[in-house]
Amino acid sequence: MQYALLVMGAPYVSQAPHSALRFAHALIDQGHNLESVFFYHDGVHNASSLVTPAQNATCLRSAWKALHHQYDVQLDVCIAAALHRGLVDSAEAKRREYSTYNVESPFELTGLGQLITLQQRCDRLITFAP
Amino acid sequence: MTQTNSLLVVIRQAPQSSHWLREALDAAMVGAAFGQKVSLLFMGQGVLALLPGQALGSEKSLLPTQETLAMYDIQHLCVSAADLHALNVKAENLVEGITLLDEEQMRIYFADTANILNF
Repeated sequence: MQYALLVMGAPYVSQAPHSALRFAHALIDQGHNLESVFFYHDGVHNASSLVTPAQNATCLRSAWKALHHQYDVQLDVCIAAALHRGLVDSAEAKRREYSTYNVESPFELTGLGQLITLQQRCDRLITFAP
Repeated sequence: MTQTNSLLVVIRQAPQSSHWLREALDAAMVGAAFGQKVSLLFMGQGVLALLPGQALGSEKSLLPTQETLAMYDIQHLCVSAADLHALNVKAENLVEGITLLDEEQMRIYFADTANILNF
């Protein structure tokens, strides 16, 4: 089956992203295909390059990136929700003349239309929210 | 019959609770812009979003009215009758054009909608 995940919880604040990551591995292990993880609401914080977890905690950002590199899973981040919460990529930072940015590839800023088309295209869209 | 292009956006959080309401409405409007037949269902504390007269400091009002949502082709505004009752909110105090649903009607709504986004 073709899956997509919608993650709406921030890392280390909500259990949602951790559960989503475990679910992602479980469904891939069972032979399903995960097309994309869409980060919306506070879930966009998962894409920040500046989040620094405690030493004994899993680095969720690295885990998402590994998911992308190993299984070609898209990491889509809602641009409106991201900008609202202080997350920008290099293009947005340049356009708005910010001194720095904190969203890097393979995370990609995209519109909500991507979420709508993912839901239509995939067999299952599973939400992980706080 | 389930329509493949139908989208139900469920709002369960109180209107001043983080950005839930705004971001749920954004998703509904984008869904409508992408040709989905969109319905909104307010449940739990989400029903409070339908009470007029709320101000949010510097933010623009997010009151989901029939007129503003109709501009985006969102025709169906529904609310859980049981949750209204639980919060002691009278239906006549809500904005106009809201359909009250009992539990069985909500069950049918969920079953008949192809796509659901839960906020």
